[in-house]
Amino acid sequence: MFTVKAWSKGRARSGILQIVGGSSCEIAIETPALLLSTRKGLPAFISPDLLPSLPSPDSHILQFSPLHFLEGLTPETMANCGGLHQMLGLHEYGFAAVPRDSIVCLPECNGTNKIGASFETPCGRLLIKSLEYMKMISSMKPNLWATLADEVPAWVSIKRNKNSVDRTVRWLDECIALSSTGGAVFGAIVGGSSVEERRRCAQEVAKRNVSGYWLGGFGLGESMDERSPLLNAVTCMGSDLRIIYPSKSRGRFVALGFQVLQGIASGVDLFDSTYIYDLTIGGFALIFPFDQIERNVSDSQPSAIGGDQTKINLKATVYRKDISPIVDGCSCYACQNHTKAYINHLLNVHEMLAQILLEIHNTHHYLGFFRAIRQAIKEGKFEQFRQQFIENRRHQIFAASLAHQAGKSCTLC
Amino acid sequence: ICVFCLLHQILGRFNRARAAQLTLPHFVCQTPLFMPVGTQVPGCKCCIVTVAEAFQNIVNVCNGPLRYPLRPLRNTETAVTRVNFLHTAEAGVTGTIKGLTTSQLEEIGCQIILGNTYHLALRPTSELIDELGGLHKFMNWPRALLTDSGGFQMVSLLHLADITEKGVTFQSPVDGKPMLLTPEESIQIQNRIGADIIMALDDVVRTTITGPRIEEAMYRTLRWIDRCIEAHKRPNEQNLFGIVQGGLDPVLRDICVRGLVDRNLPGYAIGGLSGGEDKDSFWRVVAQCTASLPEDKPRYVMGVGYPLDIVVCSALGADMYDCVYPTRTARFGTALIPEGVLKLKHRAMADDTRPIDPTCMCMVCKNYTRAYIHCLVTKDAMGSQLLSYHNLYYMMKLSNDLHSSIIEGQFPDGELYAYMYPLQSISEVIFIWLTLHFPLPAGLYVASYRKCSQRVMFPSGSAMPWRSLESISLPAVLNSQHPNIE
Ligand SMILES: [Zn+2]
Ligand SMILES: [Zn+2]
Repeated sequence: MFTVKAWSKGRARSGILQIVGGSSCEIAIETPALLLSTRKGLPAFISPDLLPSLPSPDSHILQFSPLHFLEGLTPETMANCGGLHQMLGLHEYGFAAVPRDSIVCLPECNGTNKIGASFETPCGRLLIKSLEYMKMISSMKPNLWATLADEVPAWVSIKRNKNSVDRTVRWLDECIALSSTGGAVFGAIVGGSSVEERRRCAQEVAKRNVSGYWLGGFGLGESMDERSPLLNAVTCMGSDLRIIYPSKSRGRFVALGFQVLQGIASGVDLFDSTYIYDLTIGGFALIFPFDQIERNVSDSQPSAIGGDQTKINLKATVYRKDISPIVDGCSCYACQNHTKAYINHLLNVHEMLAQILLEIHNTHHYLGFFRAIRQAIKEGKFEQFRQQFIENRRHQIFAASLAHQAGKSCTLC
Repeated sequence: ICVFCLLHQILGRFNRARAAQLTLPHFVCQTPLFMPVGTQVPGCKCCIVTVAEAFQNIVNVCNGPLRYPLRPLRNTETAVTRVNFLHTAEAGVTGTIKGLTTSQLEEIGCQIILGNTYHLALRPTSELIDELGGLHKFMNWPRALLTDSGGFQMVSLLHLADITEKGVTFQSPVDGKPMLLTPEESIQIQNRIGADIIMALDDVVRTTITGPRIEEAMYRTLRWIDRCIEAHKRPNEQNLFGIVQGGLDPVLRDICVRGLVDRNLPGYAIGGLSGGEDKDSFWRVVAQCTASLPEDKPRYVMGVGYPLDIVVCSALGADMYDCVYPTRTARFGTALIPEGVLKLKHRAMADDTRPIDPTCMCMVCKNYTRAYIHCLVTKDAMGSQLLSYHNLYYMMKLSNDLHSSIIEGQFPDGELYAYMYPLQSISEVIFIWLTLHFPLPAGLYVASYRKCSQRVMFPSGSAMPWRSLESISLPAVLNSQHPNIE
C-alpha cells in the first residue's frame, strides 16, 4: 500500500501511497502529499464539479473529521448511503479520517477523561468514546483513519502528559479491537513536548498492528526548535510507515513552509493543514515561486503590498484596477478566468465567489509546492531546496523576530 | 429614432403564450426565460426578509465557518436602521448568496444574468467597470447581461429615499450625505456598465398604495422615459427597455402602455408588481399589459420568480422574468421541486437517502442525498452553493420546458403541468382565464390562489406554498402517480 521510492540525504523521502477508492478504483498518491482539508467531506468552498479542475491525482486525497457529521447525520444513515465515497459521489478520491480538525472540532484537554476524548464542536463540547468513534468510522468507511488521541498542550504537567500517552495507547487498542472496516489504521502518537514520552508512545504504537502513525499534539504551544527532536523521536522507527502530521499554523506561511519542510526532513509523508482555509478566509492568495532551486537568490521581488513575498492580500486597494491574474501563467481555474481586480471587488462586497476562487488558486498553488518538494527529493536535492527556501526568506524572518521582540505584530503572524 | 440591437423572432405560439428567440449583442436567448441575479449582494427584495429570518441567518453565520460580529437587533431601532441592519446581515452572509462560478452558470443554462446597478455603482463603481472594459469583461461572463435602473433598490432599500421630478434623492449608505439619481445619470451609469439590456428609471410605488400617488408616478415614469432615451449614448450596443407603471388601475396602465409604445422601444417591462398585491390583481395587470404591448417586442415582468407565476405569466404572453427567490430560498435551506418546495432543514430529511428531486438531472441531484444536504444547509457555505445550483437548474429547466412546450403547441399541457401541479389547476385556471379574460371568475380558483401565501408544512418537511390547503388534503392528490411528497 505504501512504498518509498526515493530518499534524499537524511530522512526526507518520497513514495507512493496506493489506495482503493469507492467502486474499487485505484488511486496512487505521491508523497510527501497534502491532505486537502474539508468540511463534511467537501472542501469549504470548492463544489464537487469544480474539484476535477485541481491538479490530479495530487488533489485526490481528502481529510475529514467524522465529528463534523454529528451535526445532523447519524452513522445509520451514513451506512445506508454506503459510506462517505458513495455519499459524496467521489469515487476517485481517498478519504483520511482524523477525529479533530483544526477549525471547528478542536480537542479540549480539560474535558478529556479516562472514558473518552473531549472536543469543542459546533454542537457544543462532546466526549467521544472509542465505541462511538468506531461506529462513525465503520459507517463512513474511510481509506485511512487515525485513532482517538488525548492531545495536550506543551505546558501541561509531566503527570498529565504521561497520562495522555497511556490513554492514547489504550484507546488505540480499543479502536483496533472494535474496527470492522478495511481502512488503514493510523495509530495516534502524543506526548506533548517531552521527547521521552513521544518515544515511549511511538514504541507502544509500533508494537500494534498499524499501517501508519498520526502525530498529534503539535502546534499546541511547543516552539519550532523543540519540534525537530520531537518529530525525530517518533519518525526514527521503520521505513515503511506513513505519517500524518497536522500542522496548524494560522496565517503564517513562512513558519508553515518551514513546518512542512521540517516535517519532511524528519520523514513525514502526509500533511493535514488548515493553511489554505486560513489564507482563503483572510483574502490571501499564494504567489511564491516554488521552483526555488532554479531561481537566483539575488532576484528579489518588490515587496507586494498587503502581504509578503509569499502571499498577497487581495483586499488591498492596490488590486482595484489590476487586471492581471493572481499568478501569471498559473493554470488554475481562478487565474485562467478572473483578474485580481474582480476578486478584490468580490471580497469588498462579500461575495462567496471570492472564497471559491481563492480556495481553488491556493490549493492549486500549494499542491505545486509539494510537487516541487517531491521533485527535489527525487533529484536528491531536498536539503538544498530547504536551505534555499530559508535563505529567500531570511530577511523576513529577521524582521519578524525584531517585531516580536518589540512586541509588535509582524507580517508573518 | 431608435436603432435596435435586438432581434426578437417568435418561433411558436399557443394561445397567448409565445416562444421566441431573442438575439442580443452577447447571446442568442430562448424565451420564456428566467434571469438570475448575477452580481453583487442580492437586491432589495432579499433584504425585505422578515426579522426572524434575518436573525436566524445571523445566528447561522455566527455558527458557520465565517464568523461575523453579531449586532443585537433591538425593537426600538427605526425601520431604516432595521433595513440597513438586514442588509448588513445579507452582506455578512457573504455569499451564502449564490457562490456559483460563471462556468457553472453557463453549464446550468443561464442565458442572461442581472446586475444590480445600485450595488455596482457603489462598488466597484461604474467608472471602474468602464475603465476595465465593461461588466462582461470584468466578471468574465460571455453571455447576456441586464442591469436595472437602480431606482427600485434605492426606494426599497433606503426608506429615506425621496422622489421628485428631478430624480430619486437618497442618503448615501457610504457617508449619509443626500444624493440624487436622475434618469440621465441612471442611463449614464448603465452605459458605462455595458449590459445588453438596460432599464429606464421609473417612479416606483407599491401596488398596495392607492390614490393620486399612483397616477403621479405613472405620468412621471412617462416623462422620465424621454429623458432616458435622450441620455442613452449606446443605442447600437444596449437595448433600453421602458417600464409600464400604473399600479392596479387598468386605465393608468393603459395610458402608460400607449405612451411607451409610442416611443418604439426595443422592449417593455411590466413594473410595480410582486409587491404584496394578491394573485388575481397581479395576473390581471400582466394580462392587460401583454394584450396591448406590441407583438414583436419582448415583455419582461420585473421581480417575478415563483415557478407558478412564471408559468402563468408565460401563458399570458410574457417572455422574461427575474428574481432572487431561487438563490435566496436556497440560503434558508429550501429546494424547489416539481411538487412545491422541500425544506432541507427539516428533521425528516436527516435520514432521507433520496436525491432532492429524483427526476432532476442536475449535478446535485445526481450525486447527493437529502440527508447529506440536510447536514450542510444553513451551517456550511457548501449547503447554499449546492442548493442554489439545484434551484437555478430547476428554474432553467422550467423556462426551457415552457419554451419547447409552447413550440410543440402543448402549452399548458395537461400532462406536463399536471405533473408539476397535480390538481391540473394551472391549466384549468389559464384556460378559463384565456376564455373569459378578466375579471377572473370568482369562486374556486381565486379562492384557492388567495391561499398562496399560506404555507402548508408536512411532517416530512415538504411545504407547498402555491397550493391550497383543500387540494393537498385530497386523497387523489396524495395517491396519484406523482413522486411521493414525503
Ligand atoms: Zn492560480
Ligand atoms: Zn437537482
